[in-house]
Amino acid sequence: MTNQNWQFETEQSLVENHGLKIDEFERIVEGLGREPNLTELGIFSAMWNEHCSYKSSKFWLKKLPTSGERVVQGPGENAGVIDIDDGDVAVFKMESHNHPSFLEPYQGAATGVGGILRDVFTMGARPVANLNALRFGEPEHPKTKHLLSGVVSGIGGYGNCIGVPTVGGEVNFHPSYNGNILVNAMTVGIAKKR
Amino acid sequence: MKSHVIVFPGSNCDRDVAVAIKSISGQKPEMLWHKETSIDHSDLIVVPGGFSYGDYLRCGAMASTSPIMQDVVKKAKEGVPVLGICNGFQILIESGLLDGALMRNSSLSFICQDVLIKSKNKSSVFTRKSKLAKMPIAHNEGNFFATSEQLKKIEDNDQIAFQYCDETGNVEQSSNPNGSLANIAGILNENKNVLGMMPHPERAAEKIHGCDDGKIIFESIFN
Repeated sequence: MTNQNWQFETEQSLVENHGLKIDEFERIVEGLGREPNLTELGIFSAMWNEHCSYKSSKFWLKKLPTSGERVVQGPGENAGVIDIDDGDVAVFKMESHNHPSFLEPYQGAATGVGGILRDVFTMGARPVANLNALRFGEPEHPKTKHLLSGVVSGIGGYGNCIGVPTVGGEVNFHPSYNGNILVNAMTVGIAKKR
Repeated sequence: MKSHVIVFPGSNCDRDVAVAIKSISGQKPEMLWHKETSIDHSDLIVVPGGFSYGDYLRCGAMASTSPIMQDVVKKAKEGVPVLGICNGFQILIESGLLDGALMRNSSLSFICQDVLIKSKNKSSVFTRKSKLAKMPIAHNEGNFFATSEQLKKIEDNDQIAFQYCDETGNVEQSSNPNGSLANIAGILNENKNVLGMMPHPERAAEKIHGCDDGKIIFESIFN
């Protein structure tokens, strides 16, 4: 889709191939005070994609509360920390690995679990439970069976081996997910408040 | 009574078994990292469940070559009670302390459910307090197999510790969760001081677990 008003030196097709929209590119130019070089373009492409920046979800996530009496650590760190009395804190987080899992279900889901475990133990907490929330396309869709079995194996393959049980979750099937599944992995850890 | 629990990279039931041992024997067991080379005097050595070495190669195969296992085998041959639970059972088989093999479940999938088991041997240090017991299993490779010669020896020598059964104690195919030969859920070695079992007694050791039938194994050892 070529914009007649493209005024930049960088090829518009190059920007589009990097998954960046026109207004995003304009923002980059404004921020840098010049057009980005190829490396910089690549970095913005990676950092500003949905998976890394939760672009479309941010709107909704912003509506959730982030402060309260029991909040020891809110947004900004690897995981959130809540006071649960007796000198204990619960450290937990949920993260999605949607597109990686759609492309390679086992490894996408496994690394999703690995990444979320890491977010919790880097806060100094011991992970004690994993959970997940999954959405797949309709059961009759040709990709669904392969994705479902790959994701389930991947979650087990990583979580079980690291010794943290997967204690709960939910799965739903709907045609709206035929083109991209949702794989949300959560880890809850426990630590002493210091 | 001094107990030891071996910990391999990937073991995940070590802490639960330590909690059960402490609550039933009154003494905290010593946790031994797999790289240790010797165990001082022990009244019970536990090889816990989990995914040692991520189940790479074969379940328990790599753990069986860990430095500590040489001393576990030596102690077992000297008569020290050794209890292998789930992955621990797999490790004891790979170490040559128990006969047979544990194959992939006949359903080819990981099974996580409660089972009923009955004691067959009622005289070993682990099975003195026998009763129909409910315990959880959680495994992918719990399908016990032995050659016909091995099975005959196991049966003749009263080495079958536990069998999967129904509420009335009947040993039927319908109560067999994983295809194990003769519904075997646990076996003993020839000298009856080494027990390997697939169900997790440490997960059914307190009322808060929903069932505390698993206590009988530990009570049999410690009382």
